[in-house]
Amino acid sequence: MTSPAPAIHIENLSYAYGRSEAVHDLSLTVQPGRCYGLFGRNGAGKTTTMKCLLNLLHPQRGQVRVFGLDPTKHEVEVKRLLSYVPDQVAFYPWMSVRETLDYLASFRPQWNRKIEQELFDRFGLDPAQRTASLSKGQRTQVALIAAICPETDLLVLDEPTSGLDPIVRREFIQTVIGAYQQGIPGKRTILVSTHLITEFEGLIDEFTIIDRGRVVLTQDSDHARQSHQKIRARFAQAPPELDLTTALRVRREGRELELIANGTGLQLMELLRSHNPEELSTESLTLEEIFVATLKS
Amino acid sequence: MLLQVNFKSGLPIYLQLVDQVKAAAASGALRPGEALPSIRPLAEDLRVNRNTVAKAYSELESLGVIETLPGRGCFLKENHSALRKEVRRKLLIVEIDQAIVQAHHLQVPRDEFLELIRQRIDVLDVKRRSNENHKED
Amino acid sequence: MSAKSIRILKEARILFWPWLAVILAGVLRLVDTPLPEFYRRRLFTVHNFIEPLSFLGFFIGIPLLATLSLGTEFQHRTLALLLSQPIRRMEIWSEKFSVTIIAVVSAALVFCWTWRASFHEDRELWVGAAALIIIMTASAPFWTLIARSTLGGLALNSVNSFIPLVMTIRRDWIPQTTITRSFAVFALLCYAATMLWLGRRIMARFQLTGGIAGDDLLTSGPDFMPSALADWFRSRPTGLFLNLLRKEFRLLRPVWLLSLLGLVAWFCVPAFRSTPEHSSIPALLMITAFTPLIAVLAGTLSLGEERSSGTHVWHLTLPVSAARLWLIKLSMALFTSFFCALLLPALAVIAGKLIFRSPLSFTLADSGILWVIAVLLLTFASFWCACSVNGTVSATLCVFPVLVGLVLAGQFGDWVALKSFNFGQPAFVFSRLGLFANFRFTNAVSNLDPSRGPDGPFSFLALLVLPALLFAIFQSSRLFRKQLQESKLFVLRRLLPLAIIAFLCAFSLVAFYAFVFDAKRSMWTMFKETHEAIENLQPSFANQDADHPLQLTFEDLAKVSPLSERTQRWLRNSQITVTPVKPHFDRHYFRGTNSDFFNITPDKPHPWYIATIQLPSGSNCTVSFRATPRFGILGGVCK
Repeated sequence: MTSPAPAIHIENLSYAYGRSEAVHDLSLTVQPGRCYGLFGRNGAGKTTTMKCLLNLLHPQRGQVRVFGLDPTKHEVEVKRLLSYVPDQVAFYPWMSVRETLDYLASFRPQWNRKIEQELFDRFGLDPAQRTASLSKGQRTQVALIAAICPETDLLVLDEPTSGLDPIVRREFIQTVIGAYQQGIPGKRTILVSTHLITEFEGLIDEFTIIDRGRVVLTQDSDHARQSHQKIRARFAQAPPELDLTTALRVRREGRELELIANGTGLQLMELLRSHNPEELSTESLTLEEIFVATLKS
Repeated sequence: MLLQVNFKSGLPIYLQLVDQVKAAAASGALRPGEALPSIRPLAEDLRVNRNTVAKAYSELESLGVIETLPGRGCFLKENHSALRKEVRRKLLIVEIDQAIVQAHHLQVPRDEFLELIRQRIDVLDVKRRSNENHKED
Repeated sequence: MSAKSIRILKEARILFWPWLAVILAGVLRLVDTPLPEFYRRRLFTVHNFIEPLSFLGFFIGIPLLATLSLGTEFQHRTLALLLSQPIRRMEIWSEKFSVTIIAVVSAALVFCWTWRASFHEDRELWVGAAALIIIMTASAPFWTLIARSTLGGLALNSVNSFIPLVMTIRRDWIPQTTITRSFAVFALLCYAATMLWLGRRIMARFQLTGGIAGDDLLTSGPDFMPSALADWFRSRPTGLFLNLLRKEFRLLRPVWLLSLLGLVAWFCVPAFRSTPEHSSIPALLMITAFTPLIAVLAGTLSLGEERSSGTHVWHLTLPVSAARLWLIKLSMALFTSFFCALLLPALAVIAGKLIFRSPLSFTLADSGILWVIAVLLLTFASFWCACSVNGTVSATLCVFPVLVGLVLAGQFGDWVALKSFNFGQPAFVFSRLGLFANFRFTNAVSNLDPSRGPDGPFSFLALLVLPALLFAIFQSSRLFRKQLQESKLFVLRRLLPLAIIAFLCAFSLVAFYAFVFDAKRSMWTMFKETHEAIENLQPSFANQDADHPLQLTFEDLAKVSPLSERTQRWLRNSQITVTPVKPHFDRHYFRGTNSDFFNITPDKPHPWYIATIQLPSGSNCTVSFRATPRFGILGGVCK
């Protein structure tokens, strides 16, 4: 039995705004049922990539496939299969919350009213309030409701929690886990782009780090946490000159040494142990530390 | 029961959950027949992917630690004495190893270390007995 | 409600308030002045503002309606939301365009109906206007998508529509053969269809390269000034005043660009030689549609953009006085409007005339100053709207209702005054109050000439407009510092005092007119009675001529015919000299409102004469009488 089509398959995507290249030769694959993270600094090209999925931008080179379909050719089918929460949520200011959701529901063949009501109660939103007077967090919540209720196969979130207070941020993630992931596991795929990695750490199965439009690292989360290690050593005298080129990052402070390694942790531990350190310890990195270490190396 | 996730441990998340449940079962924090939190609230609470929690629970079920009753949830299975003992020993070994490493760092020699252990066990024994006496009064 | 009807309703909702405002401007023409016909042409009242406003509504309002549907998506940045829904782009297009067509056609029909009387007067202008509306509606989506904003779309649309119109609409084509006419129509429809098709193509391929600051083509588009000049426009670390000026220049850049683009059209206008006696349609169209657009944009653009991007609030936190900021903004707006809407076109037309040696003459010269004042007032009104509303587009849309509201308030004042002063009735209120007992006073008042003429209206224009203007200036400087809530009620509350002032001003202006005309009427009553006395005397002018006038005294007159008590008092001990000379219509005793008609009985003879009355107080009155078969015309004036 052949494996099902990947939810998202991007191959050698390139896009340039004028002369500045936003995305260069980007490739990534998201399998259905997974939660995929796209990490990058501000201006790394995450939003551009997501816009290409929605046919808001046309790839200049390379190809994009969503559930096997090309967004430029099968625009409506692709959009029917996914829902999108943009990074800057804007609604028509004269509409009330209720009206906005009704308006967005008119585009969709199905809309789960039960989940909508549940989320309304959970967020404590007033359906009659005009969207112009909503706070940023509330606008994001409305956008999230509008994205979850159609029960689509793919949820695309573009920097959803930036600028929100910690409580709203937690609730957002809890809502995605609780309300969106409720359906059949293979039919709920998430693509999240963010630079607030700590919060999404538990959610993300697999991630790609983008820097200046290029892919720097693609890895499974568990593997990444396992293979990235921070090794600390303290020596009796100043540490000898060691061949530490296999480390991602090296820091020396007096008699102490701190290394960050990706996959080469054991070898480096052996190397250090052979020089009899006073103290040698190791710990794994969180995704955010992995992000920082990868981009700063 | 309350479960936690440590992203710095290097262990896959689902394995951490499995280990925690096993440890809880072994130490008596979770009693046989007691319900585990359902997948959805646990995932929301820990802010962890639901599939991960589901994977942990299915792993526990395949190990025979828990059983799923449809419509009612997941419960800890009965009679695990052998496994429990094994898990208990493993946990203790971890703690003992840590203490040994510390002793080495603090340059406490082996015999002194073992003597210290005996002393501490006696002290705790005395305390426990006096606590029981107080309760009887 | 079905999905499609929800969406159509949303599209209609976007257009609703602007559509209403345009309909209001159209219906405005139906408001008729209760001023009697005789006075209507001679006096300057609020009613004179109604036609220009209606024009404004037509030429700016309808193209604005065409651009609003797509422009609102850009304004509220909801285009990403709309385009990421599972709906074909062409379906979005058709929904938006159908609602736009309905709005534009209904508004155009309203204007057709209210203006139908003047169709016959100037048919060519209306044909040109219809062509303009068709072209603008068809190209609106295209230009809005290119400019990525409502106002940018409107501006580019205007330029785009005028250039072909200037070249195609010629007065001599229209009444001529069917062939040229149908060719012109065909060319027009082709052009409209092409623009529509281009618009569809752009929509299908549209890419949302939006950034945070928006990507409005006109405000944040590429800089194409030569670097030397651009250097002058860059801010410096010192010199606050100049920096503020430079910033204003940059903010108003779209207006400069727009007027530069319009220069091309202005330049071409004299190229199409029209016969001297007809004013050229393209010129008229440009004046009525393009110039007000520039004037309004000059007023709303800088403050509107600053308010919506948040830099205005930021400025208010800096150590610079808000009054200074306000003054700089206002003066730059007025200066830009004057320069772009008036000076540049005038220079371009003159240059074009010189180069093409066109015989075209402008009827603008005599009403030039009035035109300047109108444009500057329009700019100030837009500035006031920008002070009281957040955002450029909202402010521009606000200008119509504000002006319409003020004009209606003034019209109401007119009506109340006319009704209360019995304007036009034989017995005005003032004379009943016995104000005109004294001859000198009555004479002085009646010699004021409020009728329209080359110098006539200015003082009255000032009386009508100045108080409201001063109050509005004061209001705008207060509103400048305020943080505004988005509320229609807020603007209404600010408008109320202005409306009241407009009401009072119109009222007092009409009262003033009534006062003057009452005096004139009193004087004329005296002349009428004198005339009747003279007629009753039935002088035989047989042996009289210019050198031997008939000399009468007051007592002679009093004997022959009944004179009112006041006339008796005034004419006591006066000398009357009657000369049987033919009065000339262009003399001062017939001019303006110094004369009036009345019916005469055809059986009696009505000889013509000019009579001079020497009053004992030293004043000199001239009375003259002419008769047509049915009317007698009696005129008189005193010094």
